[in-house]
This record gives sequence, structure tokens and C-alpha cells, in this order.
Amino acid sequence: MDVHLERGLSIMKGLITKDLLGLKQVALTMGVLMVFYLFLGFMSMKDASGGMMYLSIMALVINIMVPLSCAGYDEQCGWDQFGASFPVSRGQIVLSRYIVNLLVICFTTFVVIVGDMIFAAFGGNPAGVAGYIVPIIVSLVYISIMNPIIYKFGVQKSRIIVMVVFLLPSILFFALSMLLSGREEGPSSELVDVIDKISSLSLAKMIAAEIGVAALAAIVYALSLLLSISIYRKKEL
Amino acid sequence: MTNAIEIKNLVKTYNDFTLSIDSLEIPRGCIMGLVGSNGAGKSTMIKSILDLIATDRGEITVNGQSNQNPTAREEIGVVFDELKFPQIFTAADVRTVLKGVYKDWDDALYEKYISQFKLPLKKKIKEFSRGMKMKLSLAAALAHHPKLLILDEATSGIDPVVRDEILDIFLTFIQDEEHTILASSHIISDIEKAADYVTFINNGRIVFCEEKDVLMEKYRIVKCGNEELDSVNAADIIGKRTNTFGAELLMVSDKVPEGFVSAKAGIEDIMLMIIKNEDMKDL
Repeated sequence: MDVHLERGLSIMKGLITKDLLGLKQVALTMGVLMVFYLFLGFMSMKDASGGMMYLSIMALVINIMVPLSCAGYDEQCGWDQFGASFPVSRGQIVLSRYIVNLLVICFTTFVVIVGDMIFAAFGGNPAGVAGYIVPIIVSLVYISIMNPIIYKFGVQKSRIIVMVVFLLPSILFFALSMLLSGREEGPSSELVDVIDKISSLSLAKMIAAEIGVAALAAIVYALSLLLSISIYRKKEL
Repeated sequence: MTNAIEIKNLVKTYNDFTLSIDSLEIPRGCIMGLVGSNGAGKSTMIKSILDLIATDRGEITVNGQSNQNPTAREEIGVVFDELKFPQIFTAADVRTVLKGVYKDWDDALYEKYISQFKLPLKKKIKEFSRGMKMKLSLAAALAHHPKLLILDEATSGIDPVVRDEILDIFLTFIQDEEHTILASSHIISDIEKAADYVTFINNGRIVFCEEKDVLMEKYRIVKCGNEELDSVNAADIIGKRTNTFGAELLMVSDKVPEGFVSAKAGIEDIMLMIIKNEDMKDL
């Protein structure tokens, strides 16, 4: 193997291990959250949405909690300064964090799939692939927005900005609900037409559409990585 | 022979502070003590060397390589005033991470230091005393065979016994003539004990960078009464500390007037009196 590539991989391994070992600090919280949402999902597995709604919330909460926790603990112990004094580039430091975020998304997706299969085994409504992809897309977009903000402003200052970022989709969801509720009384809006079209898609087409959106989310994630690297390179540590 | 560190025309400006170093060369094989009051620019200088901050201008080389090249840091071991690993880490976790990061990481050497410092491998860092944390920092900084050890207030807040133990490690490290230490410290006695050279920074500028032994011979503290004080040429007085009975003056040895009682000046005396004198000028 090329010497530079070998060094690069070794450095990545070291930096990723640091984050994963650091996650021991939130392991208990993550465990409790998982049990809690799995329990809620199990209780509602025979509903129309099955237990998928709770599994998705679990995946989202953990996927979003991890980048905040990693950055928070780093800030607390002054890791940023220390890490940058190693023979690593700032780009490698940021890349390792994005890889850790992806690893966590893989882990929660695995839990979602196992949870969905367990629910199905107990007579619940399985969500299938179409259900698994949605939390991945939302997590990728959230993290893509969050990470550059954290690198720019630090965790403490970012909390408010991140909260607004968290609230925006809720407001949009609320607005959407308002539109849908107005549907019975008045003429349907264009938005409702779009939703109707999506709902009427076959499962195969739905999955294909989701994969398309996931690919877009992956591109956004890559762009976010580049933006974070550019921010972190200029940061005074 | 290449210097361990070379700084040329370095300028770093903050809102209310500017670090400006025209030229500084730290030769290999020595311990360079960096002294100065809080906010004098010591940490800014160290951060500049480690490329943790972007300088406005200037060039810094470490062992002949630009400090902006990450590989230059393969040969640097850094000990900050705090152990900057997450508190939940153990000494074994530190090893796992640094093994990947440093090309020349030496497990056996790390374990040798861990055992020499009597540190537990499996205990969480948050349960370590300050002295233990510092020893772990040092073990981590030395286990990849660095040629340059940079210490930023590493010995502050540590009891004298541990400090002495750490100073011994420095002296062993420096036995290799390729090895160099740059240590900033508030504890002047440590610098006096171990350093070969002393760089004194005040208000972002280097006041002097001298060989310690030369420095100790260069200055004298002159004790004189109020009447004798009037007879001393004011231009020869580098620093002055007045009291009810007269004054203590910091003077270059060969400028001490005949018949005056003088004593050797310690680094602390030199530093304090120069700072005081510069503060008086600023008023």
C-alpha cells in the first residue's frame, strides 16, 4: 500500500477511535433512548405507521445528539488545540468527525432495521426499506447544516442557532398540517397535490424516489464537509 | 547545524495585543526557558510555532521544516497546562488513539513511562490527580520519539516533588544532543534549575534571549541608600525597586559604581524589575 495512504488511514483510525471512545460518555443516554423508543414502537407496532415512527425518532435523536456531544466534549477538555498539535491536517480532523457521524447513522439504521424486524415478528406492520431511508436522509441534512455552524461558532454559541434549525422543520410540519386540515373546507393547494402524488406512488417508485433524495442528501453532506474544513482551517485554536 | 526552531519577522495582532518577533533562533540540544508575565505573549508564541493560530506575517521553521507542514509535528511532543483528552479516557485509550496518529509511536516506551510514573492504565483520567495528569501528558508527548518538546506552563500547579521528577525527565531527554526543549513557565526556579537559555517576553516583544549563565553574570542587583541613589547615572539603571531606606537597582555588572554593594541578580529579579521599569515608561 502507498505509504501516504497508509499514514492517512492510520491517522483516520486514530482520530475516529478518539471520537468513538469519547462516545462512552453518552453511551448510557443512547442506550436509555433506544430502549425507550423501542418500547414505544413495540406498543404501537400495530398502528398504521407501525413502530416505525418511534424507531425513526430514536435514530434521529441519536444521530443528531452525537455530533453535538462529540464537539461539546472536545470543547470542554480543549481537545481541538491538542488535536491540531498532532501531525494531522485540519482537513483530516474534520473528515474523521464526518466519518464518525456516518458510522453512527449506520449503527442507528441497523437498530431501526432490527427493531422493525422484531415488530414484524410479533405481528406488527413492517415499514421495510422505504421506512429505513427517511431517517437517514433527515439525519444527513441536519448534520450537514449543524456541523459547519458548530465549527464556526463552537458548541456553546451554536446551541441557539441549532435549536432554530431544529425548530424550523417543526414549523414547516405545522404549516403543512394546517394546509392539510384546510383541505376539507377549501380547494386543495398545489402542495397537497404533490403530497397526493407522492402517496399514490408504488412502493418501488417510492423507494427509488427516496434513494434519489438520499443521493442528494449525500451530496449536501459532502459539500458540508468541504465547508467545515474551510471554516476549521481558518479557526484560531 | 539546523536550529530546532527559527522565527523570522513574526507578527500576530489581536484587538488589544500584538506579538512581534523579528528573529529568534533556538539551537538544537538546549533547554530554552520562556518567561514573561501573564498576557506577555508566551502562549501566542507557542501557538504560532504549533500553527494553532494564523499569523499576520512571518516564517517559522521547526527542525528545518515549515511549521505549517503537518509532518513537522511528527517530531514535536507537546505538553499543555492541562491534559486535553476527554475525562472519560484511560491511559490505555490515550495509547490507542496516539498509536494511529504518530508514525513513530512506541508502545514499549509509553508503557515504560507509564510504569516509571506509576500511572494506572485502566483508570479514568478524571480520577487522576493534577500531577498524574501531567505525567500522562508527558508520557504521551515522549512516546513517539520527538526531537522537540514544547511545554506550555506544564509544571504550574504541581507539587515540588512531582515537578522535580518531571525536571529529571527533561534532563534525561536533553542528553541526546538532537533533542531540544522549549518550556514556558511562571515558575522561574524551574527555569533557573534546568534551562540553558532564557527568552524573556514582555508586551509581545522579546526583551532578551540569552544563555542563562551569561545572563546571571550580566546583571547585578545594587542596594543603595537615597543619597547614594542620586550619584548613580540614571541611564545605567535598567530597573529600580524603591523602599523607605533607598532602592534596589538592576544594573549591568560593569556599570555598577565602585564601592556599591551588589549581589547576583536572579532571573525573577531581572524579569520583575524590567517589567516594572517598562510599565513606568508607559505611564
